Amino acid sequence: MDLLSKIVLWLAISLPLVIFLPFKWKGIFNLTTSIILSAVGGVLAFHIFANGELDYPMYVLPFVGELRFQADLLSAVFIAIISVSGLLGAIYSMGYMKPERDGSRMNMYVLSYNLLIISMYLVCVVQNLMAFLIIWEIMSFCSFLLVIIEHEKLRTVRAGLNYLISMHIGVTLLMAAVAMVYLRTGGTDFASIEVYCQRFDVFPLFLLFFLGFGFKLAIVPLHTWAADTYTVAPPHIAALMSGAMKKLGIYGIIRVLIYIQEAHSVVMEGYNSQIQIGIFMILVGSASAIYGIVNAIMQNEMKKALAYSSIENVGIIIMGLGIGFLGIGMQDFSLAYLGLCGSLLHTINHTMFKSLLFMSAGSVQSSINMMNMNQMGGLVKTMPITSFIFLIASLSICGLPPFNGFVSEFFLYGGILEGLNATNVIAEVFLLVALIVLALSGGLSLFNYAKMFGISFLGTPRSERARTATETNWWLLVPQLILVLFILSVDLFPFRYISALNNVVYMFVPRTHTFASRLFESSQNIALITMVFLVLVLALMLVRHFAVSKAKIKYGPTWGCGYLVKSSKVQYTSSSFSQLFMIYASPIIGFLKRGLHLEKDNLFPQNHSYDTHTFDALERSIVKKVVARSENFMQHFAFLQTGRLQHYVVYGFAFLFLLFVLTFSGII
Amino acid sequence: MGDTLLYILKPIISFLLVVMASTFFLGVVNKVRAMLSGRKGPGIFQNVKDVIRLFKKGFVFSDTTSYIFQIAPVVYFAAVITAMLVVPFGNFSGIFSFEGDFIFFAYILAMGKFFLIVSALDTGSPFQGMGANREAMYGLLVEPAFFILLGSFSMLTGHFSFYEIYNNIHFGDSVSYFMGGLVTYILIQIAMLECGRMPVDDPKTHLELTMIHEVMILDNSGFDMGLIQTATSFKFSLYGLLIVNFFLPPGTSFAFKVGLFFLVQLVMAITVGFLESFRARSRMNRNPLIIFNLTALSILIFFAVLIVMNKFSL
Repeated sequence: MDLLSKIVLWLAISLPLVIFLPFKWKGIFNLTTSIILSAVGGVLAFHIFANGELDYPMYVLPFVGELRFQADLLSAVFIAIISVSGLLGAIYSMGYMKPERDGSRMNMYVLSYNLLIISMYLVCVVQNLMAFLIIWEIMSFCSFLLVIIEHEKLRTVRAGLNYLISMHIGVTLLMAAVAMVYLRTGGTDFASIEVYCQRFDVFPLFLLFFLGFGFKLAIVPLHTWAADTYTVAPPHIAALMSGAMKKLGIYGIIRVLIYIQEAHSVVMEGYNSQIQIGIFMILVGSASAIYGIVNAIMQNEMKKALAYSSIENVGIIIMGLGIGFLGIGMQDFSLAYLGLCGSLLHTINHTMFKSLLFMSAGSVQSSINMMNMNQMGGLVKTMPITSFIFLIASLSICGLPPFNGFVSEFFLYGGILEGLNATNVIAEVFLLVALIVLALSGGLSLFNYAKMFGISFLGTPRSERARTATETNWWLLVPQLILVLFILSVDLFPFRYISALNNVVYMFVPRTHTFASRLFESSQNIALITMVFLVLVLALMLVRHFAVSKAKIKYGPTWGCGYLVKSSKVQYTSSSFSQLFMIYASPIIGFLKRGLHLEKDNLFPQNHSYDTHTFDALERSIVKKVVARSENFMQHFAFLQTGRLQHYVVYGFAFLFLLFVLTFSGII
Repeated sequence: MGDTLLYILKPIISFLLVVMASTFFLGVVNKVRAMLSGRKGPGIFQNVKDVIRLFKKGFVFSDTTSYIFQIAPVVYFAAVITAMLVVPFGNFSGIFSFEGDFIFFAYILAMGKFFLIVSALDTGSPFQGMGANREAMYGLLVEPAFFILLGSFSMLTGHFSFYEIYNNIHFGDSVSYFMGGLVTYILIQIAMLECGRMPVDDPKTHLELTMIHEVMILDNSGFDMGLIQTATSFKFSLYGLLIVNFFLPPGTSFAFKVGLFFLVQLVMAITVGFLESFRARSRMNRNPLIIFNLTALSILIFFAVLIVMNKFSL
């Protein structure tokens, strides 16, 4: 541990060296540092999995004093996630960042990429809440720099600022939560939350933490930064953010939940604060899941659709945590086990398939230089490997059986069904909601990914650029293929992953083996029947191969019901595929039609234009209004912004003076 | 001798029954429709003959298609077969029976559906895109109904697999007869929907613009088409089996149960034939309403189960 922290420290100090390197070496430098960092993370994670938790006080700097680093099994899970995504992102960037011969951009990139990974590691191990906030802030800022790395476009900067502001509101809420803990208990460690819970009502504190982390997680309605940010960010950054950084919000929530699981505040008979929190999380998660996937279907831009689908998956994870916490509240530990284990497994799974999807969307982007699915099509012939990877990722994110998404969704269904057998009627009604949401969002993601894969990769090309696409280079493909292997490994050995997660779940649930063994039986059966399915597919392929080789085969154009329209424009597009769905989802999506306005005296044909586009309904109806209100309010203070440096110095001085007076007179 | 044979056949009995029922099911439906419209109609095994003919025929592939189009029918067929493996028949469990097998059942069928949808998009045809769109749309809306239904029954029985649920269900009082009726209705509707029949889809229509399932597989030919048609008829009798299982009285002889199975399948086929003869396909935009109704009805079952279990006495 001592060695590892020294390595990280020296690495961080030596990062600025990248400025003096010639351009050719900067990428290699980044790859080297990322390999070192992910090796450090990997060693740490394995060490913890093997030997249990680490407690490591470290003397950092004179004015900070001693800082306690504590890495338990929960940290280890997330460290492992970061370590893998960080390395894959670095490999990907070797291919992606190459075309630009821009040294200063590369310097910025290398610095913030490595600092981001270091800060993400630190978030997982730091125990002091103040230090946690500072590192959390560094992490948000580094990721902001990475988002706007292609800063020439106005859209990129705008989305980046949106992201930065959202993160700051989130961190303010976290600060409020930390202040609340500090003022009432005097402690600044995560463990003081436990002290807090013994004396005070826990729900307000939880709400502050939840909303603070919720901004990072992009749960509805705090999600408005997500869609644009992921769209403008480079694909491997989007993959890293969605796959690893977002997960740290989950880490934060679980970390807080660990300390409030023992809280003894009873709200009413048979209904304690754990049940309250559980139900709250189920409802918020359900709303995110449905809202996210419905909006994903409406998008025509590939990365934007993926961003919304991330919101859905985070919703499912939160819902799983809610189910688990409901179980803790009701002392029904098999429900708690299934909910928590399912949601942790879904966290890991989501890292795999969402990173993969973002990366393969990035391959498409680097090949055809656009992301509008209405202009794609036929890529399966020009980019066979990428399209195959996208297919695998789509199948697993839909939770279809031979792939890893099914395992975690199976757990969540299991948890819900288990919970339905409990005795609490209130809980049952909310579990029914969760069941409906899970089933519906499963169906909706199938719709979404069938659309995304079918429209962008199949059919005939809808534009010249799509026609002339070429397969991307191996730097981009190798990390994706590694992720495919990870997906298959979850599918083939689910119990490897589950037994690692079990130790995290046992922080909440007493250590008995009944649930685990029951699950083992089910997952063995699933593995077996999946094998039968695969064997069946292979056998049928063989039979079909004989049938094909014997039969007469003709090739011809697609049957157009009597017509032979040799145009790619007759195909269904992304917009038309979601048209039917839009009619029924209209209450929760924003939709705008423009043009086609005919005047009364407009008797003769003339040029008209017509376009439709969708927008985020919640963003427009809630967030935009709040922003406009606060802008109006802030106008009153605009006179302070004089633009003269002297005035700003005076403000700082006035603030310090005020603090001095207040402290002196004993008010604070 | 009979006992040993039964012992060997035990795990695959439900599988065999579904295959057997599927040979005549669609034939009976078509026969009833033909007779009601005053025609003689083809024999009830015509579908089997059609499929055999298709298996022998050659292929016509579109130039637009890729490997997705080639593997989709195989995956679809395999998915339906795999789904058949977990469904029991009375007290004969399927080849696989484990906790949560009905979740697997729904998801493996969805796997097959995913491939059919993308293979339709693979042809680049406007008509097939339309079919794919509708199939995806209606398929996704029906999932909650199925899960709530099975969730309610797993709550009622305290078990999580098809086999255990069916063997622990007791229809006794008036509420449970009401539930039985609703279950039958919902499952028949789901079956009609999943197999592309009335009132959602009319397989005998002549206008591609109004089709769902049939228009999605316009470009498939020969062996592939045979696979898809076989799988669809398997799927229909599979849902029939799900319904029959609710009403198999425990403690009766095996022969009686098999007889009951075929009787119910026959009645169901005749009912479907009657329904399709006298009922028009509903307007496309009314379909989701029908499906939402199913979800609402299954929520009704959920609360009925809560009442039966006396859980409302807080």
